[in-house]
Amino acid sequence: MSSGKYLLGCDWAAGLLAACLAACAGCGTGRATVEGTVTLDGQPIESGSIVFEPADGAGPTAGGQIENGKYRLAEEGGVMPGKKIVRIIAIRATGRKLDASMPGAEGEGGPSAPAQLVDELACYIPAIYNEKSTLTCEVVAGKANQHNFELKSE
Amino acid sequence: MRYRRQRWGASAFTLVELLVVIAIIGILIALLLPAVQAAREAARRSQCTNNMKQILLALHMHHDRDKHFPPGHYAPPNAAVSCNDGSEATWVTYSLPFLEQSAAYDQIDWKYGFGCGSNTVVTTLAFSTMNCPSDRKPEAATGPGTTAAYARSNYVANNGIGPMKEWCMKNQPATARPPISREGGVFFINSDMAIAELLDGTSQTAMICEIRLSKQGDFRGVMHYPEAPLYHHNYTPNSLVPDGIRKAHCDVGNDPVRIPCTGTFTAYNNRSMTLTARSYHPGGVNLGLGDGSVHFVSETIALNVWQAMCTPKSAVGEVIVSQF
Repeated sequence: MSSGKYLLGCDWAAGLLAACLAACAGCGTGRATVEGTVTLDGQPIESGSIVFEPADGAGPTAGGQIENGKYRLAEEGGVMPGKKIVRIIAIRATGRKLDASMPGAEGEGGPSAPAQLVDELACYIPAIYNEKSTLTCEVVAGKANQHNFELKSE
Repeated sequence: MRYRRQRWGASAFTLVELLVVIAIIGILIALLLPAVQAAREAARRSQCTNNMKQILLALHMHHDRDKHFPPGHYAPPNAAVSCNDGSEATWVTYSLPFLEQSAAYDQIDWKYGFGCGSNTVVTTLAFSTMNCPSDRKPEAATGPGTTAAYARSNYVANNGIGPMKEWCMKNQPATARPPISREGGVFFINSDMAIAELLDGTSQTAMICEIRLSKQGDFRGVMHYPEAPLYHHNYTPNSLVPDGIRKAHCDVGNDPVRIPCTGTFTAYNNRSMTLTARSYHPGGVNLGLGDGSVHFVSETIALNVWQAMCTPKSAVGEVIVSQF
């Protein structure tokens, strides 16, 4: 009799705990997971950024990093469902050098400071994939979306 | 009868009773803790909002004195060298006297600039009005190639739609600077926006917002250098699209997920900077508008509304305030 009473108490506690966990699991943001690969002329993009913008402008943006040709946007970085414009940006050195010497203040080097060459960086993805993007995709709620982008430099 | 009396007369708990009580207390504390944490964050957010109000007030006092808001950042016209004549001062520099930092402001030697390791008294000075308590207390940034330390701030000014490409050019007249091709913005190179120029109304134009700070060599949020105390409306608040900043200054510190960055330029004269508004408040950022009001903007705000807010001029059919 008495042991049954204790068991009942534990059940009640366990039930409360389960309810707590269920409540926490339910606090999603409505964002869907999107992942996939990005290649330019068949080569994976080593390091870059991917942006998902709402096609009608009526929603937030999402995005993240592309690493070794792969990206994954999940949890707080996930994408709100709907039609999206996708922008892909990747930067690398052009091979050209720029002079970034800063002639110091008086007494710190003067106006004839030596040349200080730095790399020039530029986006090597064509503008139709970023500034004037024509890439679109549909993100669906409640499942992991797979979107692979095969870009061409021509 | 006797048995019963003995049983109920025993003045002790069994081990199981004790464990059940402890379990129940544990559950109650588990329920309470998030509420306490939320209350603490609400207090921090409130202080953060108050700081932003002080900054907006300072900008308005600057407007009262000079009849315009301070420039986003300053490049002296026809400067012989880029390190002189107050070059690379920012809106924070000009706001110091109105943020009760007159002593620091008086230390500035306007013969020199801010990017070349001069004026270090001011560039290294952090003060609490410029930090949002929801972010960790920042240490000064020390970038590669600079000898000076640069104090950071969470509060950044509206530079419109990025990337920001302006710089001062040595031995070049002011007209030789790259044209500003960006849209919008109230704070940009040598800007002198007046309230009268906020054509769609001060309550519809963003002035000040928040960013998350990194550490060490990361320059985001540095107060007295042009590549830092500004932000852009390209992406909605808290978006995790990597910020485009100077390659040597990109350091995600210990939070690579929430403060992402990528190197998009290498020096002051090939700038291409894009910074996104972010905060550690749950669900959004504080945004200070031109009328001095501070609003909490949800991170799910529509992109077209967010972008419309950065323009001092009204776009067609621009209806904003009702939407957040």
